[in-house]
Amino acid sequence: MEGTNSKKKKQLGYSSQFALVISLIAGCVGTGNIWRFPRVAATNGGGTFIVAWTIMWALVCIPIMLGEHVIGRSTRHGAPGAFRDFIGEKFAWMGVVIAITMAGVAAYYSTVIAWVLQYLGLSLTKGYYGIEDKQALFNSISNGNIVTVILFVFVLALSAFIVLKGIKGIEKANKYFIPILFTCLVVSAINSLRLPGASDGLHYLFDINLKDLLSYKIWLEALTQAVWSAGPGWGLVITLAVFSRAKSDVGLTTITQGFGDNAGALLAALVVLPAIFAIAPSIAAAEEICQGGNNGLTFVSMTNIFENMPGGYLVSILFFTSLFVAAISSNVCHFMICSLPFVDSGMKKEKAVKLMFIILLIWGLPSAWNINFLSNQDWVFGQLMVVGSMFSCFAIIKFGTKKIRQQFINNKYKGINIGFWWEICIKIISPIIVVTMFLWWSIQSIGWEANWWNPFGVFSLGTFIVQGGLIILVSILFNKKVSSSIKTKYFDGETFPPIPDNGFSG
Amino acid sequence: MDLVVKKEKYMTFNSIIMMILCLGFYFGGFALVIFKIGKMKNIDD
Repeated sequence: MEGTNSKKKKQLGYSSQFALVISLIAGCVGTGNIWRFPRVAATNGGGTFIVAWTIMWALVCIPIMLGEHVIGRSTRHGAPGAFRDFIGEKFAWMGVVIAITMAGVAAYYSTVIAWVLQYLGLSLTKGYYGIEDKQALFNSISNGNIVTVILFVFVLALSAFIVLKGIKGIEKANKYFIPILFTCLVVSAINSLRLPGASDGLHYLFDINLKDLLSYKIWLEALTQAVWSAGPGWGLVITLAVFSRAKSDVGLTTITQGFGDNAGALLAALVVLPAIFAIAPSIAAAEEICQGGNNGLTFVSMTNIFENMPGGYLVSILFFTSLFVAAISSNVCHFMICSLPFVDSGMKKEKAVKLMFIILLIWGLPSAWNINFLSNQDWVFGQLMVVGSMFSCFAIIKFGTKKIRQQFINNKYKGINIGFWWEICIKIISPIIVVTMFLWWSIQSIGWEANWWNPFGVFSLGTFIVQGGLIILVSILFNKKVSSSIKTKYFDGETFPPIPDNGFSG
Repeated sequence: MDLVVKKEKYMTFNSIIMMILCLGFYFGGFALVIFKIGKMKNIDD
């Protein structure tokens, strides 16, 4: 027995392929699945939207994430080092843009989780019951609220604590997070579906009109939902794949991640829409609720519904618990995405996490104090995520799609064969669609504010151009410095190297 | 009035079929791929 133990090597990376899949699902299932999908699906044709969303998921998200999985596993570096080793030193800046984008997301997303925690507390104590003006309640929580700020610091500290434990810490946390998330959603969905009138919500969610498939708006909304939920271009797959075993599957793992993400979104829709349609006084009122924004739906309308529905107390607790668990598991990944590049450049894990904590604390405090700042960051970094998808497409095409597919994806450990369709998608379809999405949102934003060029506008195109442009410019200027700071190179261009002991992998 | 009733019935049938297809595809697909992943052997590097 002693002999066996002494021979046992330290296992780096995930304990199993299943653990990798769970971590990928935990990273991509977030608030976008729970509060955005039901609302967007309901207001964009229901079943028609789901068809478009599924096609976009298969044509854009899965192909890009398959390539990103190869980038992460073959280079064994965070985004900057991954781009450097995969397509050359000149392109490390693209990875820097992705890492900064995810730091920006983690900074404001921590505040969203702080709101959710506040509402979880209010659900437990029935604190929002009897309050007529739920919008005023949300305004008081999202603007100048010291409890929100304290909870924001707590969320960041919790994320840092889990990341400090490395990939094993993330794996262990997700062993609790994912079962809690899906259990809460299933129990809430059963409760919502039992309500009289819930079938109206189902009808609204699944009704299909094939003529609506001719509407470009439905396709673009479906694409947006798929990209902002599944995770292409975030550096999520690149970073988590760093810790995956060389002798394991790529294709089936990525497809499972995609199925898990979309199944989570559908489950959330089965909670939210039947409840709204059952409790709202009329179909028109239910439609109006769905047309409110994410915050309006979750914190204003849903709390009204929970207060008035049978079993609402339990469902409210389960709903906000699932929202918290989904969001914190994603936030942990965001934290890892922006910490790993520091470790790649030789910094100790502890120092990198502490540094990232301080950066995110300073960057996120304005969002915790003022919702307008948060909304601005959401707009800017949402667009930069789309830019990240373009960079991923570029890297995959530049390296060579044929080699990636034949040598890396369809390796002898594959769980599923990925056909030539992937090469067509990644070379032609995905880039065109992603660029179209970027342009569509940019053009849309011109009409959102009186002065589209104003760099200080919350949702102006000017603010995106200035902030996004600055991030890209700084990344390009520091490309050489970043590239040379990463001393290690594992990728030989032909095979997946074993998982290195970089501090996070043990 | 009759036409409206017929249309609503048709739409309801449509949404039921769509619901079965969507839930079957995503939850069935998810269960299938998770099952396949769970059966994979872990080979050390």
